[in-house]
Formats: sequence, C-alpha cells, structure tokens
Amino acid sequence: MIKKKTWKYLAFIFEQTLPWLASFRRGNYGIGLLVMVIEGANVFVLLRAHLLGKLEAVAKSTEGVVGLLFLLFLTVALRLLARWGGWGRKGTQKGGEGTSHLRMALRRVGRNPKGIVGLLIPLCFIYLAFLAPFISSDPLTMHFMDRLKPPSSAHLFGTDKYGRGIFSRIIHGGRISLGIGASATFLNILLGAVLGLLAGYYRGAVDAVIMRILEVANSIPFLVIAILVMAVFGSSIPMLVLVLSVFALHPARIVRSQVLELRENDYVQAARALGAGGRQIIFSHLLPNLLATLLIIGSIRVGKNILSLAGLSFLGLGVTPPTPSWGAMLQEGRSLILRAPWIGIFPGIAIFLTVLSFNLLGDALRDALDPKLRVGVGE
Amino acid sequence: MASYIVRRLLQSLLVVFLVSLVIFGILKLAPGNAAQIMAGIGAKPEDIANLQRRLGLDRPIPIQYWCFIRSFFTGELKSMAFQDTITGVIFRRMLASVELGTVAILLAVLVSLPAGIIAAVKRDTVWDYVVTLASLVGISVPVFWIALMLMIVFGSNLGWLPISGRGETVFNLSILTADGWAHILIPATSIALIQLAMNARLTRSCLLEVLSEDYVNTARAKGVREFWVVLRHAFRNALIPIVTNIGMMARMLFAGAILTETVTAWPGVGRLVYQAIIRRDEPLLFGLSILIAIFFQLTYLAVDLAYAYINPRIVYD
Repeated sequence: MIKKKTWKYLAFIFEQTLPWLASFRRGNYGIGLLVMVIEGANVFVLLRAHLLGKLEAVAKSTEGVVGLLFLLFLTVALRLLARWGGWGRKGTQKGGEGTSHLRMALRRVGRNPKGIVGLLIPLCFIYLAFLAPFISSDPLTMHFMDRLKPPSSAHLFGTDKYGRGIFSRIIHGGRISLGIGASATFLNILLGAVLGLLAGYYRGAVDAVIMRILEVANSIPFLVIAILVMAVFGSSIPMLVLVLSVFALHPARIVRSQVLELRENDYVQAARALGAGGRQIIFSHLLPNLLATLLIIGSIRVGKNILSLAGLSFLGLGVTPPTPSWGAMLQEGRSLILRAPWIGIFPGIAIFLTVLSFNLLGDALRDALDPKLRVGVGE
Repeated sequence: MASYIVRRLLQSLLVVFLVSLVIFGILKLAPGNAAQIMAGIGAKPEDIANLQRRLGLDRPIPIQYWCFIRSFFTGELKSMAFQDTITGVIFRRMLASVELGTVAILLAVLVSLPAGIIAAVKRDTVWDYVVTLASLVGISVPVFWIALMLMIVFGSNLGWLPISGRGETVFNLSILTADGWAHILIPATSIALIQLAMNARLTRSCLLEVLSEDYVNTARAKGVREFWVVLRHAFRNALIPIVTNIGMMARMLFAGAILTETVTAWPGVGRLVYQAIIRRDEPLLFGLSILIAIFFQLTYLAVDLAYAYINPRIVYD
C-alpha cells in the first residue's frame, strides 16, 4: 500500500521529468506537443552526436558550449513559460484574482493552434541555429568533389556549386535571418511607438512634422530606399538592421491613430485634470494600452523584415558572402535553376515557414489580445 | 471638392519636394561619387577630376540640386548609364511595367474579392478554411521565390512557359501577342498571388465586421435576397479598407516589382530603379524617385476621392 504522500512525490517527479506527458494527461495537447518536440529533439541531437563520435569534440569548442548552455536555457525557459502561463495545469480557463491581462492572453495564445505552430517553428529554427555544430557540417568549407549533388542521405538538401551542404547553410542562415529580423523589429517598434506617441499625444507642430516624415516615407517604396542605402553605404549587419528598422514607418501610423483614440478616454482626461504631466500620462495610461497592439504588429513585422532581408540578400545587398543567408542562397539557385533546382527550393521553404509562423503568431496574438484590430495591420 | 483637390495637390508638391531632398541627400552623403565609379578602379586622379568637372560634380551642392531639378522639369536630365534623357529611358520601360502591373492587379482583384466574400459568408466552413489558409500561405512567401518555383515547374519541368524576358511585342506591349502572354504569365501570377492573399484576408475580415451590423439584418427582414444583402448592403459598406488596399496595389503599377522583374528579367521600371542604383546613375535615380513619388501621391488622392464615391457621407470641402 503506497501512502498518499508518496503518490504526490511520484506525481511531482513525473511532472518534472516528462512535463509534456503531464500536459497531455490534462488535455493541453498544444503545449504538450511543443515541449515534447523540443525535448525529444534534445535527446535525439545529443545521442546522434555521441554516436557519430562528435559530441566530445564539439562540446569543447566555444560554439558547442554556447549551444549546450542554450539547450539548458531553452529547457528551463519553456517550463517556466508553460508554468507561468498555466499551460500545464488544469482549470486555467477562468481568470481568478491576480491573473494579469497579459497572462490570460498568453494562455489563450497557448491554446490556439495558430499560436502553437507560430511558436513552434521559430523555436525550432532558433534551436537548430544554436545546436548547428552538433548536427550539421561546416557551412563554409567547400568540397569540390561534392558539387551540385542532389538531396540524399549524406546531403539532406543537396549541395551547392561549391559542394557546401544546403541543409547546413540553411541552419546557419537562420541565425542571420532571425537575428536581424528580430533586432530590426525591436528597433522598428520602438521607433514607431515613440513617433506615434509624440504625434498622437502632443498634436500641433510635433504632429505636423512627424506626419510629413511619414508621408515622405510613404512616397518612397521601401525597397528602393533600402537598396539605395545598402548600395551606397555598403552592406553590413548593423546597416541592415538600421535600414530595416528606420525606413518602415508603418507602425508609427498605427500607434498614432490609436493614441488619438485613447487620449479622448475619460481616464486620460481625468488624469490630466488632476494635473498629471505629459510624461506620466504617456507612460502610465497610454503605453500600457498600446502594448497589445505593439506585440501584434511586432510579430507580423518580424516576418515582414525577414522577407525584406531575403529580398535584399537576393539582390546581393544583404549579408556579405560567404556567410550563409537565405536570400543569397535563392540568388544562387536562380542561376542554377535548370541544373540544380534544390538550391532554390529549400531556402525558400525555410523563409516561407519562418514568415508563416510569425504571421500565425500575430494572428493568435490578435485573437487573444485585440480581436477588433484589423487584419492587414502592419502588413 | 475642387478646392480640396487643389489643397491636396499643393500638399503633395511639398511631399514630392521633400522626397527629392531625401534622395539627393543620400546620394550626396554617400562616400565616393559617380565620377569615381564611372572612371573605374585604378583611374588617375586627374581623370576623375576631369570627369567630375564634366558632370558638374565639383559645383556647390545646392547648385547641383538646382541643376537637377531644373533639368528634370525641362526634360533635359540625362541618364549617365544609358546615354539618353531620362524621360526617354523611363518611357521605354514604363509600358512594360504598367502592363505587368495591370495584369497582376486585375488577376488579384478578380480572384481575391470573390474568395474573400465567400470565406466571410460561409464562415467556419471548408470554404472559409481553404481561403484563410491559402491566403496565410500567400502572404508568407517571398514573391521572387514564387516566381522561381513557377519557373522551375512550368518553365523547366513542364516546358510550357518561357522563363524570362518579354517575348514578342506589338507597339511595345506584350499583351497583344500570344508569345507575349506566355511571357507575362509567370511574373504576373507571382505578383498577383501575394496581393491576392492580402486582399482576400482583408475582404474576409472587413465583411465579417459588417455582416453583424443591424442594417444587414434589417435588409434580410425586408426580404432582400441573401445575394443582394451581401453584395449591396454589406459589401459596399466594407469597401473602404478594401479600396485602400487596392490603391496600395496600384502603386505597384509603376515601380513596385523590383524583385519580380529582376528574377524574370522583365525589362520594367522596377529593374531600371535597381540598375540606376547599382550603376550609381544619379540623375536617373533622382528623376525616377520624383516620378514615383508623384505617382504615389496621385494614387493616394485617387483613393481618397474614391471614398467619397463609395460612401456619400464622406464629403470633402
């Protein structure tokens, strides 16, 4: 006869070792799947590296250590997130006291199939990017014996004209795409929020100046100014981030129109009547109300930025070769389209999956946070 | 109305002026100049200086700007790479871009509006899921990759369509010949697919918003056929954002297809812009950006005027 307390301990151990099984048991299939895939992949990757005899060598290199640390971080972070969002527990549909708006929204995202896929795919790419040294060959070493090999078990996605593995280059290219895409989006949203808040809250001359800036930006096609700046100033990663974040000013427009609406609310008027200054109203009344919108636009913009980055790289204005990037690989595929179509096919699928998942995540966030926000905002 | 249009046009003039300043500013801020690039690597300093004098690059920057603007309006602005006035260069390319854009936009609008309407009316059915999923896919693919895939499938594997160029033209138009049509299909479809997806998504969500309004139910209660309820009562009221989006598409007529035109070697304005930048053809790029800005401003004005036509409650004065 096992004591009740022992059962409790057993349940605790079970939940900690196999959290995804626990999620399944409670009917949270989405998050269960998410955690299962990531943790299953961990075991697979490490085991495979060990069997190939690579594990020890790679684990000693800096890249390998960073990869392993990331693995640890990801495992802990996923569990914390799942726990905080209540994805692993039962009966979390009801709000209850002390449950913040953001937390509830996160739960809804975690229950939405769109949200799950939207989180899963970027996570996989980030994961592959960090663990690249364990799973793939070096993306820069050329093997002239293996030029233009079609996909096979040795070269999962085939090889390019220098005999470099497409699979390996896609994984490494993911670092560039996601890294630049995410950091450009962060700056872009920050800039949009600042401009939009200034224009919408202070109105008058500030608004007039900012609106003219937005109109000018709206009259030059984004790609034209991006190509121009990249071509004349030379391409580098900071430059790419700058171009992607500064010239796309659409978020500012959306923020401005929201602020114009928000500032007429009674609580803002009341705060003003009580003598609150502009800074206080912006930070404690307007900004919290804008967070949902910013999150939604941000998610969609990551995808948009990855597309723009691919476009620029495709034109030869992105990251300088031989650093792998998805857009540049497509450019290579364009010239070898008849002889080696796989060079052009797989990087495109990588771009497509990444962008699709950020769009899905954006949709899920919109469903959870602000269903009234129009589809197409920020696209 | 007339005074509104005049005021808008004056505002546009300011915007176009600012655009020209921005483009000119970037060109002048950039390291190196056109003379160095034209002379090539390893040219003698005195050759470069000569070339600079000939191109007027040694004069003060405000004067250079004034020369650009003046010769732009008199039509004397000369492209450096193409040895012709920019009006000549652009005019030769413009028809190609406009016809590609027109075919693509027509295709996009004609497919996306019915698709979006069906998805909204038959909400949560298979129709809806198919349209929603397809349009999500559509907004997530890189346009040039779609073109590349179409080229692989229809150009190389099936061998049905040629994979680059414009084909046979009559009066400088491809759509007048069968061969031209074969050439336009791949670039037009790939542009259209993206635009189509965006517009179908927008149509669906706007129509859904409107379909729950009271006046739609009122119309049904009066015994109006469902078809006309959707089309006349609901769709017309959902049109404003859709027209805005179609306006955004129409901007592309002129120079919106840089990537597609590059992939499919379509000799349009989009590719011209790219070439002008890469060859550092400052006058050409300057002229092009002003023309693009003017075109954009006119599109925005047209969209705003369309609002008044769709919704009589919108009055400009």
